[in-house]
Amino acid sequence: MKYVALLAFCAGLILAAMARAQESSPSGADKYALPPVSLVPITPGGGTPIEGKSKIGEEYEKSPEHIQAGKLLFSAMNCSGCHSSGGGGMGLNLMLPTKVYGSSIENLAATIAEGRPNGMPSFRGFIPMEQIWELAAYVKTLSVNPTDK
Amino acid sequence: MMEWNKGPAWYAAVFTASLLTSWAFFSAQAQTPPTFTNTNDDKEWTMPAKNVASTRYSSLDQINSKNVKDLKVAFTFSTGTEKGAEGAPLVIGDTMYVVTPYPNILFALDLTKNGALKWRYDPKPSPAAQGEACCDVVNRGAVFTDGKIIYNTLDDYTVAVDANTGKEAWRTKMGEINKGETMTMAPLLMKDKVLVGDSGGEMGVRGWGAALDVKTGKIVWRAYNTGPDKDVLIGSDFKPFYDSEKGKDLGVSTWPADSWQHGGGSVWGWASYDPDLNLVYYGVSNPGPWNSSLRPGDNKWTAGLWARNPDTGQARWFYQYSPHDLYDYDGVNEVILLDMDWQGQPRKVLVHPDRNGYVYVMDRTTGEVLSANPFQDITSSTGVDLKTGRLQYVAAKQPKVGETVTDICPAPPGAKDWQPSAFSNKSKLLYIPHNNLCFDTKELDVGYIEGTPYVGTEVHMHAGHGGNRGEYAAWDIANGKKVWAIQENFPVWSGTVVTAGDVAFYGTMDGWFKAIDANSGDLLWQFKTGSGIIGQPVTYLGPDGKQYVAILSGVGGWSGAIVAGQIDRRDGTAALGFVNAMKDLPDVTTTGGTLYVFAIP
Ligand code: HEC
Repeated sequence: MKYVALLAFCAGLILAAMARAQESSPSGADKYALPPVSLVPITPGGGTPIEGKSKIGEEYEKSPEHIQAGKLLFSAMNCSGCHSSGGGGMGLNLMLPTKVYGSSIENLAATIAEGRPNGMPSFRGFIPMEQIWELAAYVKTLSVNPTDK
Repeated sequence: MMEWNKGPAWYAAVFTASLLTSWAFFSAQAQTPPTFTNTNDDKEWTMPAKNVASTRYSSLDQINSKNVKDLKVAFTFSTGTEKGAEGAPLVIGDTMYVVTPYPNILFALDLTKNGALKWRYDPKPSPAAQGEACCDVVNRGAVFTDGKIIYNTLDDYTVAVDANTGKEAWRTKMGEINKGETMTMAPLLMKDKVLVGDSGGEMGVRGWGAALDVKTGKIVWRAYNTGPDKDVLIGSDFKPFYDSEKGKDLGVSTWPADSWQHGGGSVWGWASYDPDLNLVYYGVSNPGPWNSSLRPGDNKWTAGLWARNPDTGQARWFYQYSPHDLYDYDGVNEVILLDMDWQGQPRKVLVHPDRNGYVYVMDRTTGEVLSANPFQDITSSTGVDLKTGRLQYVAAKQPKVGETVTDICPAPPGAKDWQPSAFSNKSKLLYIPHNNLCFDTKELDVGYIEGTPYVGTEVHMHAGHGGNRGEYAAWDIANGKKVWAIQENFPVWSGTVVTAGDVAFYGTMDGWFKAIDANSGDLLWQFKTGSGIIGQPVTYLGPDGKQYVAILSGVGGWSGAIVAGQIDRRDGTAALGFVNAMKDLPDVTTTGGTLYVFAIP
């Protein structure tokens, strides 16, 4: 009977996430919206690349509660299926400080929401934006405090 | 977690086990390849397993145990890829064909001009497929038939390419990457059809095998490995040997509720074909998720072997190596078809070294297990009950939710994974490249999310008894025991070939390509290639009438994912726990696919 309970638990999590994804789109969209980000530090013609800093990013990055929530989501949303405990596998190594698609919390949130071409799924619509920020906050810690797993 | 201060001499040491006694024994009841393998076409190499009985034996003997020490590089070719090169080069006429891992480019090389590039064919697979492949983005090779080279792409197309021009003849979409399906196996030729199947046992797919018409690419049949009998192509022809395979819709009733719909059971390994019995044999992967507490029941038709009519797909028999698999013991390893005397009776048999650690000898007409003997230290089971056919699990090693169970042997990649063995018509031995790995595991909650892994365990693998992670063994089939074995530091993840020159070839994950005396197991020659070797060696006669040996070098695969996928060695759970056992691999090899071809000058 234990497995049935487990299944129900997991399914419940996903359903809840989907429901929240729908709720959060019309109202409150602004607060959690992704700022524009760039993926490279070079710009032609002497311009400066978009820094992409955001208030929400700063808030989530500093919040132990959001980081802890992100950690749970990392397993529940099956990031761990592809990225293991952060070291990578089917997905990229997230314990490296320099990320291919940018290592700021804003870049990480953009990666999770939009997906990336070599097989990173786009989670936009499947995970509500506020949880995407929580995930990004947790992913950030993987390279800041890497531990053996 | 392990010491490697013993030096190369230690792990390359050959130990000889009762060489003389077993020799006398098996020559009395020697097994032979079926007559349908006698084709006198050993000049060429037209399918990865050499023939439909999958013996990987060549009658060529210009290169032999006396002169192999003089082997030198004849030519090389860079495949331009950085992922694991598990493929077998093919040789047809004066041309060699090489399929790369993703992006699955097919190269044609001119053997009259030292392997000069003739043309290339690019199937342009979707880059997103890379995120759906569990264990590196490998491809295990192509098959030649009807003037075409036929193979599978990671993004689920079977493609046929004109062998002369490199033009695409047909392409058939077989699966959906969005559902976690990819394709990595080499097609098997069955007369006018090829058998293909999907990968994705770690992605909660509903696995299948299918036959395509080689002329048109039309799907002739597709048989699912879970679900109702009509989808599994079980009908009135189905005559399994054991009672536990009998009953209606077992592909539904041996699973809780609807969980068969994401029950894995993919077809990504090897297959063989008996044209006399008109049966095709192919294995089925592990059930999903790995977390076995979520799927009580036998989980038909996973972790077992099908015998089917290749024309209709109708099942003849099924045998489940690992009922209710607990450890990711896929049943997809090679099946070698042989004829032999079994206790005084002539039998058509198949020989299969399974992930679960036993070499099975089975009657291939009926599906009866004749013997099952261990080729690695096993703690997960005590043996196979020959009356019921059932694997006898050890209760103390059963994985649990939230609690770590330690020292389970073999580990998920098994005593042997995909790396195919070879049978020598001369020595009558089976040459088995394999692993020596154990693991610790804990089951975790997991829910199915389409297109993402469906595993639910935390795994840490480590070296098995003795500390060597791999072994190359010569196996006495009739007596079910090792004649000799070469211990290797890393898992022996390459295939092997054995020849009438009494030499066997294989490669190591630190890049050595080795020639072994097929009788004694002595190392006769070795060459250090540019990267770790996980490919399949082949041998052929060149346009100049000389014998050549070819191998792809290029580390990766599940075992080499730490290097090919640049995985962080601090995360032992990565690559489904394989990283824990391979933390030193990045210290000895880098990526890069290169074809090496050798000859005696
Ligand atoms: C189906 C497998 C899969 C799943 C599930 C998955 N990822 Fe990924 N991820 C990938 C792959 C593959 C890449 C590399 C994509 C590329 O290079 O284009 C990647 C890349 C990333 C990157 C970019 C790393 C860099 O160096 O820029 C981040 C961050 C990331 N994933 C986070 C996550 C998070 C968080 C989740 C869970 C919400 C997740 N991933 C789920 C496969 C996956």
